[in-house]
Amino acid sequence: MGACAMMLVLTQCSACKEPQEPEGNTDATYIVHWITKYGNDDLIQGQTYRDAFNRRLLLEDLRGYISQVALIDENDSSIVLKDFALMNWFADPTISTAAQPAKIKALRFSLGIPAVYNTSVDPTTYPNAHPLSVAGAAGMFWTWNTGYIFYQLNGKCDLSGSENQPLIDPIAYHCGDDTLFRTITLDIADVTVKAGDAYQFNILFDAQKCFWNDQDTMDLDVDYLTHTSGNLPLALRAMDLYQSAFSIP
Amino acid sequence: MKGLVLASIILLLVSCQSSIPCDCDLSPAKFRTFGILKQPQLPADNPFTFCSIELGRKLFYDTRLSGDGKTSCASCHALVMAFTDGQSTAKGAHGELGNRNSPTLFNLAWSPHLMMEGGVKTLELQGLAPLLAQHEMMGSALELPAALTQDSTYQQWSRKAYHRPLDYFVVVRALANFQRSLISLDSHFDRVVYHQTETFTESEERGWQIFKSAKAQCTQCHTPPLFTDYGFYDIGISDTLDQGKERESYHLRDRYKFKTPTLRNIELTPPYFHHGQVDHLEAVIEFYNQGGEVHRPQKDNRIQPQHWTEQDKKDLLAFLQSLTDWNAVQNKRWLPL
Repeated sequence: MGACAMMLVLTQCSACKEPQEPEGNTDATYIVHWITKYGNDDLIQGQTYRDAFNRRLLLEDLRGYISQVALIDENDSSIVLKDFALMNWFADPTISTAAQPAKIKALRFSLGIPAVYNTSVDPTTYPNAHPLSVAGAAGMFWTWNTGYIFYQLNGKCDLSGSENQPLIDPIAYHCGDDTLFRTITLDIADVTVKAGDAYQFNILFDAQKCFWNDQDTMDLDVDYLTHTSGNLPLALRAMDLYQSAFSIP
Repeated sequence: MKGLVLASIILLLVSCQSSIPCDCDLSPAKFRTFGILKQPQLPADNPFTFCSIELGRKLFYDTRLSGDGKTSCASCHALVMAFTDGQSTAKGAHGELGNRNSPTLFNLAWSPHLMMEGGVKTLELQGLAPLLAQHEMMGSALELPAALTQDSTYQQWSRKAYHRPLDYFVVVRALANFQRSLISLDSHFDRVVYHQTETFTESEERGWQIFKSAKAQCTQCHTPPLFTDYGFYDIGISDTLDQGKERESYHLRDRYKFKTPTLRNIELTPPYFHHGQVDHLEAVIEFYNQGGEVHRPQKDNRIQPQHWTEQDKKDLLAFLQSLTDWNAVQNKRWLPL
């Protein structure tokens, strides 16, 4: 009888044992890094490059909003890394977050700000550190016609064709409007990221494609200026080219 | 104990010196609509209190908001000129010339959209445009100047009105509420037409009849009581540098269309049209008498030659002058604190 009672107590203790916390870190760390190039060259602010017509061009400012940066797992679920970020493409752009382990099959992000945030939310309501705040936008917000600049490229080129003339001809693509919002999905070979692992996904941003690709070519003699308003067709082309600049290396 | 009380009184007197009150009134302000208009709709996140209005008033006249420290909102919006500046186009910080004529700020509480192409929907958002624009106040988007954020009156009023330190959130809301408080509905016209306490002169009456006639159709767009319908039209101005509404809509059909400006206080707000191309009201009347300067497909077809006589034009001028609200432009509550 005494043995039975002891057995019962032992059994009950075993059955009532509280679940143990798994040891170590249960999350994985996901890093998305953009490798920035201009063709075969590294992308460097103030560097001189060539356009499709072999004319010299200088890139001074190359920034853009990305939003809804996510990894897509094998079940088509999203692991969101960032809601919004203002990317300076000259400045080693990287985003990371900790989330549950998963088998990743694609990367997805949008160029620009979703319509619901683009013109309907007052930027003064965000804290200064937020990329959509007045300070965080750092000029990437139009005040005369409420909305964010999704993509901004400023530079100069030499239309004379000379190799010695100063670069004085302006290039300015300031693109931003709900119709210019783009979403990019990049498929990758399945990657299983385990708990405690840190895994870096690389995306290539080739700024040369902001000027030409297989479908379109910017002739900087005529295709040099858009603030979206005043030249929406050029803004649409600039945004299409910009979208084509992202790929898996 | 007596020493403490005395010290407290002295401290209070010192900190409350000048005409700026130490405390601000958090009770809700009411719109004085003179029985002409309904109360305007107000945003949920900007309580229309006396405190916020007074804070906005102080900011409106504060040159420290600008990049050169010399330009305030009032530099281009002076009360005596019905909150305009008498310039063709506004001159901003460091003498930068703008590209549009400064509009009046009266009665903006009822405006469904701001800017001449209507691209901004609220007064709160509109405030960012002049504050940050390079050709206007050239303020820093990164942070407000320390001279402002450390100003003790601003600190106190901002925390009281908005429960936070002075930042852009507070600045644009306070400025919006000050502008909402700028109401001008007390002209001779109002006393004749809405209150029947005065009568038009014969010339004013003839001008009013022409103005609202089926031939002239002025009231179709300059619709009383605010003398605007907030619509966008090409009226046939020859200037083609500014694309107007097309900048916002991207539609070619909107090229050279601009928002109908109010005609209230119009005699105080020369020069006229979006670039201030016309110096005198008489010239504006002549512009409409000619049916505009240029004729394009998108020009509004109601702008047609009128064949007014010299007397008609004088009568129209007299009528337009009846829209001046002399009480409003002398209202000391809208002068600097």
